[in-house]
Amino acid sequence: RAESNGATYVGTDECLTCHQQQAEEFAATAMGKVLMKSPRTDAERRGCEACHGPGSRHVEAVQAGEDVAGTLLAFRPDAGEPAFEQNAACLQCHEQGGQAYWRGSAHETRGLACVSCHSVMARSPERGQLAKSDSRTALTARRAASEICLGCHPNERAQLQRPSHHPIREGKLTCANCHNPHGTVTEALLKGFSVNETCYQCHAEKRGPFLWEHPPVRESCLNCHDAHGSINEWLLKVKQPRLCQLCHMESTHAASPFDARSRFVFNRSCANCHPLVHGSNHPSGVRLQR
Amino acid sequence: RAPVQAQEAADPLGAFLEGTAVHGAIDAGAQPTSVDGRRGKFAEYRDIPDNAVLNEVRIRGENEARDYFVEFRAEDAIQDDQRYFLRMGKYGRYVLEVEWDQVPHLLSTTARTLFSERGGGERVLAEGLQELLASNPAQLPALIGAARGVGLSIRQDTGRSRLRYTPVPGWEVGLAYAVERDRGRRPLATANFASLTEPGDAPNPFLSIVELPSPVDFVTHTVEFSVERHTRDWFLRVDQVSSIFENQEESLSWDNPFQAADALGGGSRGRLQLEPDNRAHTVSIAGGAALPLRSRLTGTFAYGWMLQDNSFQPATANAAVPVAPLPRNSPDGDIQTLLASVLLTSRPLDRVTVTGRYRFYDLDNNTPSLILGDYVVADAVRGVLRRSLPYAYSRHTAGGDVVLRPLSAASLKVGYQWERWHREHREVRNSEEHRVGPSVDLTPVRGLLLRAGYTHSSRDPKDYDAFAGRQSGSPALYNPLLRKFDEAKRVRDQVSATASVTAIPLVDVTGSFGFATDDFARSAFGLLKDDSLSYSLGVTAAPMERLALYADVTREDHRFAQRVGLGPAGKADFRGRGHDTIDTYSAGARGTVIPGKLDVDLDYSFSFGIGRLRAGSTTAGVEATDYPNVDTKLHQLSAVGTWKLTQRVALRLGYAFEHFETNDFASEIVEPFVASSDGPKDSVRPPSLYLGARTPDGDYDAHIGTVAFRYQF
Repeated sequence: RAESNGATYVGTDECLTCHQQQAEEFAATAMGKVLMKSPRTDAERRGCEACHGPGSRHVEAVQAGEDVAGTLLAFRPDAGEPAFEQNAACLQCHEQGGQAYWRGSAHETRGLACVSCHSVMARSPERGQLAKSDSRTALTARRAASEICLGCHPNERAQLQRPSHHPIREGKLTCANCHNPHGTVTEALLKGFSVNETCYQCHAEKRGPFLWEHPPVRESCLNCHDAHGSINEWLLKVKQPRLCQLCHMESTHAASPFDARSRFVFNRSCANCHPLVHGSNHPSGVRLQR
Repeated sequence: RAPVQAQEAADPLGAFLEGTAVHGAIDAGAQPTSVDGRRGKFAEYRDIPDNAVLNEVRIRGENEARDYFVEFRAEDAIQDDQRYFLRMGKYGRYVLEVEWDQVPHLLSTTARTLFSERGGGERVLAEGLQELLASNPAQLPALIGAARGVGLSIRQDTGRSRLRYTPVPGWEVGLAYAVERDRGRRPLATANFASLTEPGDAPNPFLSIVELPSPVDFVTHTVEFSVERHTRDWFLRVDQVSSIFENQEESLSWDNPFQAADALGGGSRGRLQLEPDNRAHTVSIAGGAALPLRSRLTGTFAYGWMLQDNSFQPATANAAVPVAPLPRNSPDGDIQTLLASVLLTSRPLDRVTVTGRYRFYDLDNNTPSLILGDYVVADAVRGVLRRSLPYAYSRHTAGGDVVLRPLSAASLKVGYQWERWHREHREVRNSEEHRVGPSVDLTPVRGLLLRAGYTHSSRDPKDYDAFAGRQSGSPALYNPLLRKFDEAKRVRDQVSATASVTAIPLVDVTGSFGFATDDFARSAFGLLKDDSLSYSLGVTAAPMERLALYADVTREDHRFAQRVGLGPAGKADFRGRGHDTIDTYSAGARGTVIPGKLDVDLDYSFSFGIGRLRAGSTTAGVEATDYPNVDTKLHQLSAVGTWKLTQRVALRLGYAFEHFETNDFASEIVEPFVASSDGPKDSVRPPSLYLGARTPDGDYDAHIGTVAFRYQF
């Protein structure tokens, strides 16, 4: 924006004339330390203008007492700047590593800005300069890395309150353990190269390969589990035995409706006899019993 | 610079400490806690001691002159869920992180067992007990009083370290190592056969279920290495990840309570193989480059191995069942994965963005297919010949979307995706799915944001072979009309909408709606329909400078319909329906009562879920009945007042209340001993021996007080 209106770089000292306080706050951040104090590249040496763009038109407007709107990137919510313009400033240096797939990602195409989730101008106590901070009560530990996501994903927030859940509301996991909000090569912004490779990060015992595999398990854990929370035990999408009976009707015992007091239903239901549903390595484990 | 370097070399710690400013906070106090009811669910993933607590320690040291920093953070120190985190580095050069984290997972507090534990995963009954029960299982109810309590819980301890180093601008090297140890016990139910003969009876083999506290002792090592070169216009990155999983317990073996001696038809002991050790390695290379027309091409290529070659256990623990030698001693499990992904994005015009993507994921299973002629059912009888199958699949995904911004206040996106699955040894060898849909974002006036999206997708399996993938047995055992939901023809429609309004300054109202329906029109048996509906409303308000309020309500509704049966020639045939409804409410307030002195936080949430399973049948002789509803309620209330006593010291007084309530028919009737309803009425046959572990553990009311001081320095 600023470059396209013919502006030129004026140097950080010029900015400090009016924005001393903001500059001091920024200098306390990790990015501020590099840009304001120990720049290593030409881009970093531009200081304020590395992100806000060349400031000559802005300075001229101030000196002339004119409206400064649009003279450089302000990053304010009321500035009316498209997210992609704001993000382009960040991507100059950050379009690599975990941010390599930002362009084309679900969040990018829905118009999210980096500054929707990250605080740049003031130091955040959390890694990644997150715009929220961890907070705790006696019952919950709310991690910034989850709270930022849940602000826009109310269903997932509600699902975390379900009785069967990953320890997210206890603060032991965050959304970022499984998802990379900056974009990935996998659906749903998953960090692994597949659903299962994401789950194996913590559940390596289910990785196998096994002598006797359970095909839908090998293809996707989400065939049976709802990772965000469930009212059924073990995060199951549907209560047993009905879950298993979606696919298994090979025999009378698998295909029968059963009374609720049947041992095919209570306790672990089908897993009362077939506990190794994720696969078995036993020569006699074909029925996932051994 | 030379004197500084000389000082650093001579006394690095002193050099660092000189000129280092240290800040931090310590939060500690007392936490009187009372739990009425069962503690299992309350302490599922957390440790809330009725004791003095060290909630948090944060220390940050920063050396302005040398650009170094050190951060240390401790949470819930000296508790089961403690976490310690150290981060240090030099801005723009390197960051080193070291972390220790403990996650408890309490499964149940009600488990009882007659078994005692020995090393090597052995579970044994007391001397003479097996003979007593095998000869007369009717004595089991009287003996169960001697069962001992056993804790079912797992604790995950994880140590992590990560180094990120930037030797020169544009280069980055990463190295990480993590070790995770999971230890504890989990419930594991097993199938056993026994042959019980009562006076006057013929031998009567029966299946009994024996539930055991199974050992968990896993160690997982993960090593990661990465190197990256990047400029403003391009980057290239290589990653390597290795994960080594070791199970310290190879097998679980147990006395069969209802069979004292090995015999054909029932073994005196059972044995299963616990999760085998395995290894996984992935090497990936990713790169991206800027192209003309504000375009960018990004790609990733990854190759992975999942390997497992643990020795097999013997085919059975029952010496009375003759078995031939196994065809191999280990499976030589070998899965290789390949990922190739390309993404092209372009913004040829300010108001137009075009994205195209292609992704290929291949899971190639090279594990040998073994023919096991001496498969033994539950350590009791020989089964028919079985053949293990190396299931494999590949998945192509291609598509793109166009985003148009005709006005600064409007954005329209149209997307299309094609997906092709190829599977080995499953019912559907090839299937294709097409997905298309638009979405729109509008900001017609400042303060109002409207988002809506719709996608329609249709999955079409080329052929469905109901008999594919079977390891043995007669085709008559397979229902030819069953269509498994993950492979079947499916039409999926999804609608979502969100409206966010800033009605008046400092009041935001956001409502969202989502509906997804999966229609399995060609499935005569299996999942027929699956619908999900959700809607939510959230309000935040700041009516005064010193007061912020919020309230949210969410309703989620899931319904499915299924048909189960043996097919045209079968006996069973019934329809099942499921309907889960979960309502979640939350509200709270943050207020400053006395500016600079007293802040108050209030939070309340209530989640109520109810699950319904219904069944019915029109087939003669098939009695399909509804199951009792399952419901859970969770109330959480927290009130905290923070009084700033001095510039550095604050006193926090709080009260929290949590109420959990659950009704689950599947868990409530389980006691350590249950005579199955599948047997003759009023009979102890066939008996089973459970842990009596309720999951979820049960209802409770918890009251937690907080008196804590926070000192900042």
